Amino acid sequence: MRLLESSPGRYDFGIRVLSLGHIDRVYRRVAELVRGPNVLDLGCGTGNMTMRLARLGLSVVGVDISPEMLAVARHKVPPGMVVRLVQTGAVELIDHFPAGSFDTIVSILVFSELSDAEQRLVLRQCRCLLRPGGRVILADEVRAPTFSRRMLHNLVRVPLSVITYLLTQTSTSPVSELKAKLSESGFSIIMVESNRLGDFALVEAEKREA
Amino acid sequence: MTVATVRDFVLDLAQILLRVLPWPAKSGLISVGHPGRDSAVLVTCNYDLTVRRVLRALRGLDAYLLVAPTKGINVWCGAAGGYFTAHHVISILRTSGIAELVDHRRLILPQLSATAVERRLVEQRTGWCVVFGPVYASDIPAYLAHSRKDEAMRQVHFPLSNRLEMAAVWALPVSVTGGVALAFGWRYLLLPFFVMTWALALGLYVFFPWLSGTVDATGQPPPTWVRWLIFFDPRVRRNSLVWLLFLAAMWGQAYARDALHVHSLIGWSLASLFLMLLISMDLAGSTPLYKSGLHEDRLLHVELNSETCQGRAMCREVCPKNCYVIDAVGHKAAIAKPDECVQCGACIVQCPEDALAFVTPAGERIPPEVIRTYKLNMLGVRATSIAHDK
Repeated sequence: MRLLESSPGRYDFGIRVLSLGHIDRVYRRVAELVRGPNVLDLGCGTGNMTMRLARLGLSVVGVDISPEMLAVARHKVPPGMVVRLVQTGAVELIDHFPAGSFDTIVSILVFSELSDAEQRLVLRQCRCLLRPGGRVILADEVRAPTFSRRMLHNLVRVPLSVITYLLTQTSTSPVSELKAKLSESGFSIIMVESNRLGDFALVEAEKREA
Repeated sequence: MTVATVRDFVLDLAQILLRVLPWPAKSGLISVGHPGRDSAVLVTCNYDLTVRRVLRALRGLDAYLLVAPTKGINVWCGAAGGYFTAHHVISILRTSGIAELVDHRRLILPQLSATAVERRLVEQRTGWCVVFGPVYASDIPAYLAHSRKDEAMRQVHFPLSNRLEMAAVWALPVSVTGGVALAFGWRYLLLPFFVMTWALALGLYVFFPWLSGTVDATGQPPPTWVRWLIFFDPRVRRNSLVWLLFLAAMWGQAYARDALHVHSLIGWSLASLFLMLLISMDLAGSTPLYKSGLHEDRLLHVELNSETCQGRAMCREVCPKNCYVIDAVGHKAAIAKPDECVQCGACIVQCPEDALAFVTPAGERIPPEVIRTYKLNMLGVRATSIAHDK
């Protein structure tokens, strides 16, 4: 049942349904925060965020582990524009870009697909790839702050995660301790925006000078 | 029996019955026994059943086991589906800190991961030297003791125990989904439906070695009797005429006897539809009983370019059906048993000279770089459409 691969276009539709329509708002908000000119979209998937940033005139590179997703993204490159898309794993960023390459690194719904150890390593690599004062903007599912909210989260999320699995064959687990991980990896938190339930957060953090 | 054994048994059973679903174990580094700086470093997927089976096989040995983050999917499926690739191996090498624990750089991967894990990429990015170990975890102790792999260790088998697991894989979801549908008003059909579903799946897999004697390995369309039975095969498009005839006969007979119980007829139609789906799914590729159009990759064959081949034997090393022979004097490989090929693509992905490729029934060549990028996900119709986009 490889529903997603048989129609990768379904991914966009699926993610819109699963986020209950919020994903477009996330893309908009991230686009407001991004500072150019050089931007990395880590885990760009089918390229929605990447192309939005490209249309703003930023020089953006999209990176994803899935060649199928990138094949879809390639179709979305606006005519006349050049957007570099790189197929690689998240912990291999430093193999592709020199230190200090980017002003901003955005990553939407990617960390929840990575293991704890991968998240920490990716953040360290991001720090290395950012120019001094560069920022990361992460938007992801996070562990809700209180027990009651976590229960509420599970109530909504468990049925949705079954649908997510059927549509995308991916299972995600909410990111825990994101702020602590950022801080340990050499970032200062600038801003955190959470939804009411506290299970989705948009975090902006700046590279701290050693 | 200890608590751990009971827990293992219950988990084994649950995971075998739910084999269609991923069941992730925690990825990371596991120390087996008391490993030292020369101990072997092995990699596996993070499908819980596999991790526990590998640990059982390693009992009594000292080694490091790296559990790669493969989304809870087993080695062969993960590799074919793009969830167990060089990137996942690089990730576990870099996040586990294994490089600080051993003095050597020899990484042993499960042979079946060769379908996707590009040896060269791992070696370039990490400096580790990749070797493909045996297919089965139970052969690891012998493999480590002699540090070589013989023909038997390279061969994939399909013994009765595995076939019964596969029967459960298909019978469980079909009997449960069909059962739920029937429970809404045809409860009396539940028992016969369950019996038929399980009998069909078990029958198919138990008798598989005898049935598979009829397998047509040449990629020709399926034998006529099969064509009338199945859904899904684009070359057939008769869409299970047998089922429609069965329905027509059932309804006609009821009408003729003036006993048209619409409710009961709908129930039987529904139950038989689920059975037909089960037959179609099995025949359409899940058992390699015939090469179907649902799995286009089954119709591919491997082409060897003897001019570029240097006889370095990577193909023989990774082929799970021992299709290759190597001429050690002439330094050339040859495909001795093409009919045995299961189109896993491992030989093509690993060939250092790019001397191998898939060829479609239409004669189109799918080069190694496409297979390395898209794995088996995108072969057939989807792969060719994407390849043409470029």
